[in-house]
Amino acid sequence: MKRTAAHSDARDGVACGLLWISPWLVGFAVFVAVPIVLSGALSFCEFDGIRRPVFIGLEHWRGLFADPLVWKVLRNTAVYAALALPVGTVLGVAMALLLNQPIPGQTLWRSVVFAPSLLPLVAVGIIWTWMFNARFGLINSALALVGISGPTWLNDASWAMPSVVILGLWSIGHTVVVYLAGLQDVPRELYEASHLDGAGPWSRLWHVTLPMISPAMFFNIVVGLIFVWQIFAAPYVMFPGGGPQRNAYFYTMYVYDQAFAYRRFGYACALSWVQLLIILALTAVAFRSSRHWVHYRGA
Amino acid sequence: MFRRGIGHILRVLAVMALGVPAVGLILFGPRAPSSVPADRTVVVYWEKWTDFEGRAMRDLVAHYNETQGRRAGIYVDYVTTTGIDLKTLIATSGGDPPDLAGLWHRNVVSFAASDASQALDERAARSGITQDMLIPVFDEACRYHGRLYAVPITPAAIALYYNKDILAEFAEPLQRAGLDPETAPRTLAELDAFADIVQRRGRDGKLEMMAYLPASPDTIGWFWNSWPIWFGGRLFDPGEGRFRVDTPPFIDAYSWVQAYTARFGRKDVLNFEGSLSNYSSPRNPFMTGELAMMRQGPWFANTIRQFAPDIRYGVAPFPTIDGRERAFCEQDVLVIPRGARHADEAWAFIEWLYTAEPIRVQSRYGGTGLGYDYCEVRTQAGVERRPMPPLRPIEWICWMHCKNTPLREPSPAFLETHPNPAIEVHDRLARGPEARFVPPLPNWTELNAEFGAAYRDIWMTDVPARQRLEALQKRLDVLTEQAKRRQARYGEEYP
Repeated sequence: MKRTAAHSDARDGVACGLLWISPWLVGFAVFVAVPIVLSGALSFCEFDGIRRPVFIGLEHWRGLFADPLVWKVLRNTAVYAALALPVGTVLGVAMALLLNQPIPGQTLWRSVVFAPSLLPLVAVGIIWTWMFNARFGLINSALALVGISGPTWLNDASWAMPSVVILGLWSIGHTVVVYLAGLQDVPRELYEASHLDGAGPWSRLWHVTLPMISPAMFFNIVVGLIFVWQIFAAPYVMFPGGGPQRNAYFYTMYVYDQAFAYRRFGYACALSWVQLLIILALTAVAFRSSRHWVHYRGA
Repeated sequence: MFRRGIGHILRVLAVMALGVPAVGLILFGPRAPSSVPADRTVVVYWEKWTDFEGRAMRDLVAHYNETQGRRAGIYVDYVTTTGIDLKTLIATSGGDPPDLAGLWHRNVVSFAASDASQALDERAARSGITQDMLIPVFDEACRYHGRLYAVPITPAAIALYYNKDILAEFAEPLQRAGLDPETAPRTLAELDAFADIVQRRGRDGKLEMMAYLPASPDTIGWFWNSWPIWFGGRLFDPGEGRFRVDTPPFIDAYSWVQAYTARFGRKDVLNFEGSLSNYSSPRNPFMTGELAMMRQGPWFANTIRQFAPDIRYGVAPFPTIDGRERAFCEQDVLVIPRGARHADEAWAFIEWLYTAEPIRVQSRYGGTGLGYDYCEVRTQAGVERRPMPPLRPIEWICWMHCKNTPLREPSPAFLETHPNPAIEVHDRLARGPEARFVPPLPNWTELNAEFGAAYRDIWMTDVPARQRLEALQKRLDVLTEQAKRRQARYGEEYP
């Protein structure tokens, strides 16, 4: 009798829970799940947004392997990911370590580091267009102070990618906040014990701090991985058309152009699915590798 | 079902906290403007214009609503819309398009080819808006496969604007080189000769002023895709059936563009270009004297009046390879999207624009946005201020936007009182035998993007123009074949 009542209560709880989250569930189904399924179906169709979709089988899927621009944007995005993610991680951890020190105005410095990540990406793109201005930009002006003649950042094929990477570092504030939270969680007794064992600052960083904040690093790396593979707004503003030699033309920019500039929605859907599969695969690799370097307390 | 208690009460309160404002919003929330009369058919008109151009069109629409619209039971609801081509397309795709959309000329063919806009031939014929009413180049740009899919609203032909004061500064060396500082160059060789002389560098050797700059599409290099026209070519040969960029006019044109950076030093030129402010700014390089010449449409007179009214400038056809007058044209157009609910009423508004008797519209927002209750007429005695003349609605809006007229027979008052003192030059260019638009191709946006990438390479690197254009041609041919297949799937021909 008691078991039946407990069962009924549990069922009621589930029903009640589902009822309460139903607005989100409906929204997710209508605006996310259904479009994902439809985009899969449209990737096998010719569709210009107006006329009825025409089934064309695997033509788009075959076509994207023969499309030189797909390889170009894949390469650009992979290079960007390979540069931005490690540099962002190292810089983020370093900033968090600095901001974790008991220095005067600690809260102010933390706010200063976090504030840029609140700016809309389009605004960031416009601001950095001027920062990179070859003649009047702050960066070249600063370089000139130390006798360096800065490059024409936005007009030089070899400087287009570094420009985007530097711009990406502008908004590392949110990763720094996560690292800071992780650093607050490192038990003091571990530092004390390592100190007694004769560990120096570098040794403490390597053997205590980094392992203890590795879950935070893992979180930031997975989120960052997804983010860098979807980079869009800022380079779209700074490098219309992809910049010199299209060295700042990224995957999502190409998907957007195919869908909304050229109205090849079917092809854009196929491209989006490839992007999804790449991100899923890289995320899976990150999860798999985490067994070897992420340390959870009590695990 | 639920246990009674504090939790239940909290849940009920939460529902009320969310539900009561929601119900309130539904009952008392925002409503459509009450100025829309209930007894009239509302024509939803999406237009891209903002600032003084948008205000002028709003004034014209208000005039229509007060006069002809009232008589015909039509109310045009002007809605400013950014990214208008994409939004119109999506709304059309969703079955809820505006009744009237103000698009760019480059949209005409792509919309028509995908059945996103309605053919207007029959309506135009019934209203007496015939082909010979319009200047041919503006009419042609509204057609696809011979059918009319749009009507011009504010057209323009591009010309050369030159700063007479700057040229006067260099009068002596110009004269020594056999050039007249008071007259604009007629050929590209003359333009090059001007460019060699009219330039200034700072103490550090960096460029501070140039005569002219072809420039990149991303800065002030507008109309970058039209260079072959000035080299005597066409952008598209209908007989060819595809976009060709590996022909002599293209190779000559873009080799000339590339030679520009080589002559002045690539890094110097790119640095100089990167330092220039954008077009719509008081720091426009023509206003600041950083560029002595710019290629612009008639609207440039407005910008000059707004930001640097004291500049002494002249307007001339842009120089060509052989001195013959040629022109690149642009225009904004009106289309009726497929599925528009009030297509007849939308057309009635277009018909009024083109066929109504001349009108006087109360507008404080003419020309530069400084306020025009008058116009300036140039007489032998000087500039005379007169009340705005009555103009046909289509010419009134072109006048207010400082653009060309699309009409083959313009009102004398249009040219006489136009806010651009050199409108005759633009008008003559549009009527010339070699006035051209961008190619009428359904996939022009994609081809143009590829062309743009090649142009940037030619402008910013030392890859020879011929080599880059030949590589581009291969890519364009692939894209053209794809477009042909796409059209064939719907039983349509390319282009």
